[in-house]
Amino acid sequence: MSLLELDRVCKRHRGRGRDVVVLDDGCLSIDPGELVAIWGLRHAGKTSLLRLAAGLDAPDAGTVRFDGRDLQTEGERLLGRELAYCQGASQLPGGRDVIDDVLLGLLVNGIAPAEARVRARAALARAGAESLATRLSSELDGADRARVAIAHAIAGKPRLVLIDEPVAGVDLHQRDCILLLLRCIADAGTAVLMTVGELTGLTGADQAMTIGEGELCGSGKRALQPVSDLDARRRATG
Amino acid sequence: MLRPRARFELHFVAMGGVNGDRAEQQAVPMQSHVGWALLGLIIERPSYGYELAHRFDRVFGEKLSLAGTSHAYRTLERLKERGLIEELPGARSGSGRQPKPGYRATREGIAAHHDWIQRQVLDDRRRHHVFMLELTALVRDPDEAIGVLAGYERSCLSDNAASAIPSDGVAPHNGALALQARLMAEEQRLMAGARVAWARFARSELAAFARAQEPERKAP
Repeated sequence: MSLLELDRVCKRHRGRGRDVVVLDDGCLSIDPGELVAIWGLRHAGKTSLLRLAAGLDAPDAGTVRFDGRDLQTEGERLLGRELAYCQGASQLPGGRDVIDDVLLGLLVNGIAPAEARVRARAALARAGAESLATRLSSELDGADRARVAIAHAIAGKPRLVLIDEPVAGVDLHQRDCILLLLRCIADAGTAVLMTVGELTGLTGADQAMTIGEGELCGSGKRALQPVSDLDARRRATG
Repeated sequence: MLRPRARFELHFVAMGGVNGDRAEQQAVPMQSHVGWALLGLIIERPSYGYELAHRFDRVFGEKLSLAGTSHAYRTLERLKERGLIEELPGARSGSGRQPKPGYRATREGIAAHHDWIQRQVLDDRRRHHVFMLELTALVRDPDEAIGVLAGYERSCLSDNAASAIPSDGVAPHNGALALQARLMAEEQRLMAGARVAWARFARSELAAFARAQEPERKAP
């Protein structure tokens, strides 16, 4: 059983008098420790896909399961604990110190203050953002904001990080450092599903995929087959 | 600095000499990738055959291989005949030892090498152009063409994902080889990325084309 499974998911948005198909029979399967990168043009449905994968939006058809549990019914309980959803560097709040922002996320999820402070410091250190702890998010450049966003995501020790455009607005010279950081997080066992707006962001992913016009196209066979077919094959091959 | 046109002309001059065999060679540009690669190494640093053969293995690894050290010597002779390299003055002097000629690139050799590199880029474009022409032959059956493109897109995605994330940042710390690896990796990433974007675009265009053709196909 995969960590995250989207099985024949359909999702439409109502927009300007017509339906926009975000995903049409989309299938995706992520295992622990995998880094999956999805590229698409603007408005191709990247963020919508992440919101479905986080259980923030419900699919019109099909199922989204996390560790076998239906996110439609259990998503609220899992989000912020086993699942971390991060809107990317551009969405960071700007009015508080970086450490307070990370702390707040942990406190909201019921972590005791002393423990939350230790975890926040550790997450910032792991993301290479320890020196930014007392800075305001609004003062940070693109790469630093990305590191802080990642620290936010990993502070709660989730099993899956969903991150929207982590390298958007990041200087070209720093881009690979951020990608490498996400690769390291995946290698340490936390699955990462991220969207990217530029194609170099697909480098080093275990699965590289594109999304557009409702279709999810992937580099691995797993991404192209309905999950149920995969399960059947796994059962058949033992 | 030579103008591109002047360099191009020089390249053809460099392909031969003033008489006989060299005149024939002049008409035929050198096709050997090993020859051009060896010339590049000599431009990078003048040297002698044995060292060049070893450097060749180190730099090109499995991407381009010599059949042996004698292959390097033969290629050096051909480069010399074409006037692309010349022996370093005084390299054969000395007594009691076998002569060990060193080589450096001639002005013509340097110009010809620049042209060769530029032509590689054009060849890539030509190959891609041929692919597109072949694809449009399938346009009567857009679903087939879309299927071909989907396969192409997946293979580009695999290429993209398979390349490692450079861990060195942009500035190379390990000299020319690190720089070379870095430039190649970045070129591969950008090219693979551009192909993915193009495949997506082409599929979208073909799908729109198919939709537009649908009423015609259904008409009696």
